Amino acid sequence: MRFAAHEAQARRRSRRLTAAFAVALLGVVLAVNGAAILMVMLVSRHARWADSWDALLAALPPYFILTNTAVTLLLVLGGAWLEAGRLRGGGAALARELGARPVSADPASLPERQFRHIATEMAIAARQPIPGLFVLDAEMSINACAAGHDARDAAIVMSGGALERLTRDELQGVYAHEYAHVLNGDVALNMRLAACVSGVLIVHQYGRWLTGIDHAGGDDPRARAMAFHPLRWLAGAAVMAVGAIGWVAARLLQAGVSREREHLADAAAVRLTRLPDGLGAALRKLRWQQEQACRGSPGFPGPRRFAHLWFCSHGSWHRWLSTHPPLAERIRRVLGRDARPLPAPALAVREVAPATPPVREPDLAPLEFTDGAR
Amino acid sequence: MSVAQIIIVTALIGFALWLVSAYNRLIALRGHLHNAFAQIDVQLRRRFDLIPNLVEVARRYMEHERGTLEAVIAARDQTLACSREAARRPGDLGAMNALSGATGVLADALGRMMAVVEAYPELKADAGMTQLSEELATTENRIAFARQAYNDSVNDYNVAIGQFPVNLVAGLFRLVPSQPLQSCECLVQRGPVRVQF
Repeated sequence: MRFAAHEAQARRRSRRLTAAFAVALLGVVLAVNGAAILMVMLVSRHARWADSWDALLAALPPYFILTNTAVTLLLVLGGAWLEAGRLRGGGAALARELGARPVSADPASLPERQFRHIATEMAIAARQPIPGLFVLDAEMSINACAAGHDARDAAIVMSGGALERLTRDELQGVYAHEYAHVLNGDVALNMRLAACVSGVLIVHQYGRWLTGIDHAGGDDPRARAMAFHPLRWLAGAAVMAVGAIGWVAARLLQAGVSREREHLADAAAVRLTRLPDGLGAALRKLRWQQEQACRGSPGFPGPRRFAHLWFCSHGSWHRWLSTHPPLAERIRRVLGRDARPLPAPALAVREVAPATPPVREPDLAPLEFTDGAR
Repeated sequence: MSVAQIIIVTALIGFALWLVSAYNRLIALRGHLHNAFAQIDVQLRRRFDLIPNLVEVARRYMEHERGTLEAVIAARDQTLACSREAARRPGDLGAMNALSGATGVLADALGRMMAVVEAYPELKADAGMTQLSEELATTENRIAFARQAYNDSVNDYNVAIGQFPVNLVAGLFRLVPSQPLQSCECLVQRGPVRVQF
């Protein structure tokens, strides 16, 4: 397994993505300026009657384009920076934010013990470190997610439902899928995308603030007076529109990249475990769960902002905005055939006896990583 | 210095740099290989530590299967000795083959024991047995994955020292190809694949 090569590829891809984002940012800046100039043409006769580009520029207020550009850049980059700062805490911080608890070094319950064992097995298979392991007890559906920038600070969260309803092989398949995300650098990529999306969203929110929609019903008379300034309203609406278009574009980009990465992670999981049946069966159980959810069982309560982090995101979004490919398609690719959903009842509660002599972990030095993969 | 001299000196320095970097790369790859073997060794030790515990729990329930249990212990001790020898000479063909053979015997003995365990429902339900089964399952997986990682390392190394012109460097420093491990003797065989529709 050449995960070092994968990482290099992921880094190249994220550079391309950054370039795409730069182009999108340029588009947003141009669009904001265009909208602002149109606005000036509406209110200023000089600008409207300008017969040449130079005359138009001369009719604009001083530093007009410079200010527009600076404000837009400040909003987008500042928003992205804020979000990135929130995500920079690493996988463990994000896992705790989701409400997950870390798995102890020597868990008493069999599924958690299996979870920890599987993590070690996969680390050996990939010759990479073990990420932080977390359980989200509150999440009763089968789900899992990976967070963090690289294999060193990554965290993998399993839902309580996944531990309760998956057999060892299935759990291994799901874990390998999440671990593959970590190794392929998808998690870092996704975080960068999330930062970009929220950066663009801030432009939209700024526009909304400009229109004064939010102040209109307030008690503060000064705010109400500001609310119906037509020029402000127009400018705000224009900025909002630009922000919305940019946001949709960023979301499409994010969802498209994410869907592609899901298939790759499935493939890498099969390669890591060398057993498609585990992941295949887990995906079939997910499909069963989805059908149950459609019949009125409670849906997925997790935060939507991190939807792309999860093994399976629920919700009936448009296909293009969905961060995960359809389960039927994933099952077909993993198992090589169509397969019916597999009922996923809770398995019997399995505890391991604390009284038995603990298996001594050999005190040989842990794996050293001498390759310059980092 | 004339232009020709500069060119010759530059070429010599370039050649020396290439030689050093090629040699260092090969040594790094050999380091990976030893490291990967050490990982198998760690997991084999884990298995060796585990088997007496397993036999101990089983003994409480299956007094009449003393022969089966003793065969497991004997095979375990033999494999332990072979693995110590192989760890001393990683990549050595003879030591590897001896280890493979001993592991096969251990696999058979343990397989027989686990088959007998099936006939003792109380033993299967024992909490200690549940834990030990899980420990054995993870150990077998780790061994299998560590072997795969080792074979990958052997392959990387063998390809590197076989390629021209690095093979000249390898010949100069007497670096020889390593032996990959043969088929995987897993102690706990996975059951036949069940197709569910």
